[in-house]
Amino acid sequence: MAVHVIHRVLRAVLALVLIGVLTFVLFTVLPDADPARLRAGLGASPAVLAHISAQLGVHHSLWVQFTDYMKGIFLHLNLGYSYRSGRSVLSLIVARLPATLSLAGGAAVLWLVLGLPLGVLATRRRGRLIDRAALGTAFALGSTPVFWLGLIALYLFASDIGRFPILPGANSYVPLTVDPGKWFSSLILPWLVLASCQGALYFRLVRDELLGVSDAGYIRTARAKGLTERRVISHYLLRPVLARVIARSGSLLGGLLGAVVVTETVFKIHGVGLLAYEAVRQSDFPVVQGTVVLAAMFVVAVNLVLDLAHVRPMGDPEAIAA
Amino acid sequence: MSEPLLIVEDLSVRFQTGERAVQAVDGVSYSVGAGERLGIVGVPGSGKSVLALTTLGLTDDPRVEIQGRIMFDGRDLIQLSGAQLRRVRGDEIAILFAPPRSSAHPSYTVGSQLIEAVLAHRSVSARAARDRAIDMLELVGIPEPHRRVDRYPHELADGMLQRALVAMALINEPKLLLADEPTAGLDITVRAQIIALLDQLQGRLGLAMIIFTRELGTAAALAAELALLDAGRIVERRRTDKLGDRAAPRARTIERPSPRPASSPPLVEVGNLVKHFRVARATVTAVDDVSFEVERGETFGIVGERGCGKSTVARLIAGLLNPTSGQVLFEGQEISAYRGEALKAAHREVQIVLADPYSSLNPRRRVGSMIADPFAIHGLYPDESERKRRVEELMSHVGVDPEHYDRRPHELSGGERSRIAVARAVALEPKLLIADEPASTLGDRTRLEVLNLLGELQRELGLTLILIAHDLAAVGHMCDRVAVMYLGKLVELGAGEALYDFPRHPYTGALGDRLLLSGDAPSPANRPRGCVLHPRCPKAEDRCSEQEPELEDKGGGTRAACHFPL
Repeated sequence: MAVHVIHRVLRAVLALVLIGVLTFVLFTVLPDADPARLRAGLGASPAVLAHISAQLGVHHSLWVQFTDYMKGIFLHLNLGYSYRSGRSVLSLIVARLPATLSLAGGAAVLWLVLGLPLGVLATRRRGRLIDRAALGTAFALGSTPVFWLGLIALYLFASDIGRFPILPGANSYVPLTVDPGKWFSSLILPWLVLASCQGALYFRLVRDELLGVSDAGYIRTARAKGLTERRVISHYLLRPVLARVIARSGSLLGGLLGAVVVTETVFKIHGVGLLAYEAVRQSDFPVVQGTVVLAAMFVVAVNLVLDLAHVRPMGDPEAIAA
Repeated sequence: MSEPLLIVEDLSVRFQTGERAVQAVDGVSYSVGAGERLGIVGVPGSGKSVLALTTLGLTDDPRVEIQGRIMFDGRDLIQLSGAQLRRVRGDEIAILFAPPRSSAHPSYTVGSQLIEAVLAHRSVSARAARDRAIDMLELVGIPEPHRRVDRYPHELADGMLQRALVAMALINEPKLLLADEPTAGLDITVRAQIIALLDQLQGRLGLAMIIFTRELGTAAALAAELALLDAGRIVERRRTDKLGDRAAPRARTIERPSPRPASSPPLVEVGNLVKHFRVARATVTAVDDVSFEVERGETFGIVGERGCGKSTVARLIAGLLNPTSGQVLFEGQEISAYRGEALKAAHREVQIVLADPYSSLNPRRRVGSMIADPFAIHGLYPDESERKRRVEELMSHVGVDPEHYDRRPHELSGGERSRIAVARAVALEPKLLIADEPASTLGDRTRLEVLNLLGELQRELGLTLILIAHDLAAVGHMCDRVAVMYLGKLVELGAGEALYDFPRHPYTGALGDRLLLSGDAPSPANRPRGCVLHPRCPKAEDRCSEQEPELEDKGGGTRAACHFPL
């Protein structure tokens, strides 16, 4: 048990180190451009450039830069400063976090409320029309690019350009603290778009897992005892399946973050995703790097928690006997 | 005579899968009176499980068509609504499944699964239900039921868990128990205990019982009336007393090859063989100081239950594993010392057939090319048409239509797959063929056919055959000599028939259904001191727990490791 925990934690630490190496190589070693020039802008004098170079530490060896970088991230959570605005990357991200959380949180509620019960229903009616229809829809939605889905949603329903102008479209996001009503209505379309692509994945995950256990002997035993169907589903099917779905949802997190970036960009929601997107367009490497590092740390942390929560202190008697 | 308890009339069950319809049960009729027993015997796929499940509406497939009547206590179960049927399940009619490992939910305690069965049908307090659960665990012979009630399934051994499942089925005092393969996946000595338990409880509780099984032995041990099911129809009804005894069907006695010259050295010499495995930082002794010799042309059996080390011995002899200590000599040469080309040449002489023809053949490959593999490896029959001709010869030799050359394993029956595995193993005409539980996952009849095939091949090709099995009754008669293993120890060695008819070691006796051991075999990681059998042995005395018995001559050419032989 303790060994298992240590093992998992060490793996998470290794993942973090690799993320550090990778982002350092991507954003410091590989780019050709002079960071001082990116920071200072085109018309800067040589003196200013030299000053900025010294500030950024580019004259140090790569190794020194790397160790400074790693120390900065992991010891002080210092993600550097934006070339554009000069503000700290961390403060930029924190300022954008509420919008991203609104988008992802609301969409998560939606896709769980839709995806999970549909998964149960489809499994119950395995092979019937509703199962095949749901599976086909999930397949189509799951393989549709998010940006396309977003654009179609805008084209159809956005209040400015839509064929059926019923919902606020792009660039209408209002923070919750400013106007809750507008906050909600502005997010309906983005929520639907993000939830439909993620919900499709969760629906299939739940359906797969349910099919995996619904043929298990213990389900048959439970029915044979005369338990009500409701109890069989809640107690014998859903509980173990939900545990597995939660455990596996960690691996879907990366995809979700990508989808958030795209959704924010399409709908012009000023969240972390749009921040990253704009930073990429403006070659603002510290911001790109900061969002990537934070996102990666988030994924690693969530997966670590899920892994540890999933630990079962069970020996497998069959494996020992074999 | 009063009305029977259960009357099944002209029952047909059909599954619609895609365009194909599968007629699983085809016009079956039978009846069982209160307190009576019936055995329904059929090979896997003959429809017996569907028959059992249909009785309680448990065929969990929305595209099932059921016709006929299942009258129970004046009601047609087929016509009942879901809610009405639910009240019958587990209350008036209970059903017992196996193997226990997959039939009990792994994440709830045994007690909570029993209590839940009570509360589904009775409005009693949780406390009363728990007391009832403990009483039932006691009734089915589980020691310390007060403690065991709060255990999780993985904390109970197989036999113990199956007893708990029997308790779960009977907890509401049903009038009828359907036992669907009640001993599937259990070791022989444990199976015997479960059969004895069902036998005893049926009489004591006065319930009617239907046993659905592929094992004639199990059915015959529990019921006098038997119905044989084939392809969804009842093809024969008989009474067991006409069957003679309760024993499992036996392989045909093989004509022995002409007596071997006594001077020729043994083909295989196993000396003080020990094999340890490291499992999760513990050392498991899989094989402990085993010695025997296998003569040329002999059929040598190694018999024992799961975890006894018999398959490890087979792999050590085949050179697939290296011993921790001790040696395996093949034609006087130590097999673990071979390397490179010499090892390849040795593998030509020693071939192995694995138990499960489903998992041991690659599902993506065509059977012809798999049989030809050994030729490719050893560079034989380089000419393609000649190689194909040789493979087809082998196929017809083992009784598979050569037309199947380009088929894939899933297109063949289990028996055909086993034969393909045998053909591949004998393709190089090895001197030694090791068959590890051949076809043991298939039905009795198929397994028997494969065993008989091995016997024929042995005679024709002059092979030496090492036959690994868990069932002494099934193979004892076709083996010249049999080594019986338990928890890594060789406990008895003697002529096959003698071991079955006159066992000296109590464990051999239990395998031959002559005495009942108690409890389950412990894990090989946790072997008892002294005689490894003593905690389960009815003859054990103090000495058995202190002093390990040596393998010594007990007369009649039999050697056994027991202080108090039978």
